[in-house]
Amino acid sequence: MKTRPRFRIESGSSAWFLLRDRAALISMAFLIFVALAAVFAPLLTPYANQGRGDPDLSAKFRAPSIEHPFGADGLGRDQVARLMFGARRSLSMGLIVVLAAMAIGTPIGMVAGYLGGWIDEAIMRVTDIFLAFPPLLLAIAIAAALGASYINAVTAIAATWWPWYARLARAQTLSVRERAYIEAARSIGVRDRVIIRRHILPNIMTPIIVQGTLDVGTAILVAAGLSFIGLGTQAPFADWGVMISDGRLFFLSGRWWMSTFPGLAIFLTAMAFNFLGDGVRVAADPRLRRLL
Amino acid sequence: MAFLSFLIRRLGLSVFVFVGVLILTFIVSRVIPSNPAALYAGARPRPDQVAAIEKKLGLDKPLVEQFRVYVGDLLGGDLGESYHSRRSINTDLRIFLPATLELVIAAVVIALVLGIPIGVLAGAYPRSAFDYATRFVAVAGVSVPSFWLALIAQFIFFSQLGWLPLGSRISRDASLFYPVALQTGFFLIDAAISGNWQAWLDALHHLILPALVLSAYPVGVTIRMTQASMLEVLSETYVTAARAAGLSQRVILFKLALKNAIMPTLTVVGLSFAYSITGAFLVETIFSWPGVGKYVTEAVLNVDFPVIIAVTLVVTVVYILVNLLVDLTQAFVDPRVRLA
Repeated sequence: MKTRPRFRIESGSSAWFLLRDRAALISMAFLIFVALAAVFAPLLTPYANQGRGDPDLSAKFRAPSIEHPFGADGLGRDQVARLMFGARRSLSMGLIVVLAAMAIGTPIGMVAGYLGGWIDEAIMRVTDIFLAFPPLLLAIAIAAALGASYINAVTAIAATWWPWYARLARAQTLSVRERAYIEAARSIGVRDRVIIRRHILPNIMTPIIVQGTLDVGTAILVAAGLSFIGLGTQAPFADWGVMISDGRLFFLSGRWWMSTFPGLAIFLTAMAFNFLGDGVRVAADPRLRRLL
Repeated sequence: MAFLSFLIRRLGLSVFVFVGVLILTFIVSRVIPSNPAALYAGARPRPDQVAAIEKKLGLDKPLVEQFRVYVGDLLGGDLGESYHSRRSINTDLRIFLPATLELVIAAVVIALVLGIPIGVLAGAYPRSAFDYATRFVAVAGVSVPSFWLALIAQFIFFSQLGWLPLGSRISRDASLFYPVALQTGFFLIDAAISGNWQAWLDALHHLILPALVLSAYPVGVTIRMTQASMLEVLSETYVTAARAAGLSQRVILFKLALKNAIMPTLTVVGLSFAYSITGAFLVETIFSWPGVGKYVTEAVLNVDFPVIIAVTLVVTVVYILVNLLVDLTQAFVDPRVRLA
């Protein structure tokens, strides 16, 4: 069989379907744009030190202008620079939370689904307890117990998020466990640990990645919420939630720009992750492709 | 008979989860903090205050003993005392919890009333312009930060249009001239019981904006779930049969298909409740709504840890009860659930 050039996308493949989904494509482009703005923030703005929190009292409450397209806040900091530096924290919070939740939940769920019996029962009842809390509430309590900071907020959210992945991984493992290739591996004496890692994990990854893509947006929202009430990023640094909170008291008195732009940033980024996640979900599932 | 055994199993699970929630909140409040006594003593405590708290909470005793006391207090109905206001948390919650529940229930009702019909139509006409518009609205609903939407809503409906009040549960005039006689703590119910219609209208007027803002997320979720399950149900053969028999589209969609598609949507009631509660924690401060959300966010600012833990516990118990109710309704309506 002839080998294909690596960059070609086969028509009818999942990637091909994803690239035909206009909403997912636009979302991907937007997210790349935001990520680049975050990564290269120090090079892209002349106000990098303000992005990190230095005040410029001469520009206090400056309205949007050519010099400061999104205006300046109560300490005169350029809001474009703040937004770009805030993107670093908001995006990383969302990504780290989801990756951590995946890294904790997936192995636990696979072990539960693969071994079954009382271990499965015990693990599932523990997830029941975590999921009994309304979202955010337990994260607020844990973050308050750990003390307000960026890293503690991330820890708190991830600590409440992993059970979703444990459940998903368990359900997927159950459906894969009885397949012939697993039985074959077991019958030639492959150890359980190796079976889980080499044979189950690759076969359950797709739904987990789909869920992860959908979750990043929600995680960014939750992280922004924690920051908004003061349990996340601390001054002089800011993420988008902190920026909304900083501007909120001035919002109705004419200084609308401080809260408006970070809110839009969260809104559009969360939407982009949702559209992208939906696109990935449909592209990865032949049954859904037919229905839609 | 099947229902009874389902009932017992489901109640057993709730009790188990409740015990688990007690253990988890205990761990969060006593094991995770590096110095729980300092946390309970509030912001910048003096050493003698910390020592007093240590003694009061029994932090020098073994954890098992501490847990026994913790559970004993809670089951005795004592949630402790706020370290900021020194008031009993029980007294505070009796006022704040109904305020939040009133708001959250309103948001859930809005979510169902808007979300279900929109989801049904979107599922019935896939790939139509309506379907695409709906999908966009649903994604926007679950993506918008509620606390930001609250600000925007205030700007539009209060500052610009002047249609709705800025915040709080009732206007000062109404509370002076038509005070609501509190019984349940739900203003709409209490005002209606006493026939105090001026106050009732005023309270409703104040409820609309925060409830709409809170419903954004649950509306999105309800649309998505209804649409997805309609799509599935409409591809079943009995729908084709009904079409062939010449039943009208309205009967097929809202009588035949919706009945089978509604089950996953009932689950949405529980989810909507959860997300509205979450939204309430972030939004109440902006609307000066005197509920548990405002209570908790103020507690966060004042480092008032006992309040945070008490609210976490109480709201979670309410949430467990709501889920129990949803599941029992589902089992009652749908025999497939109780036999599973």
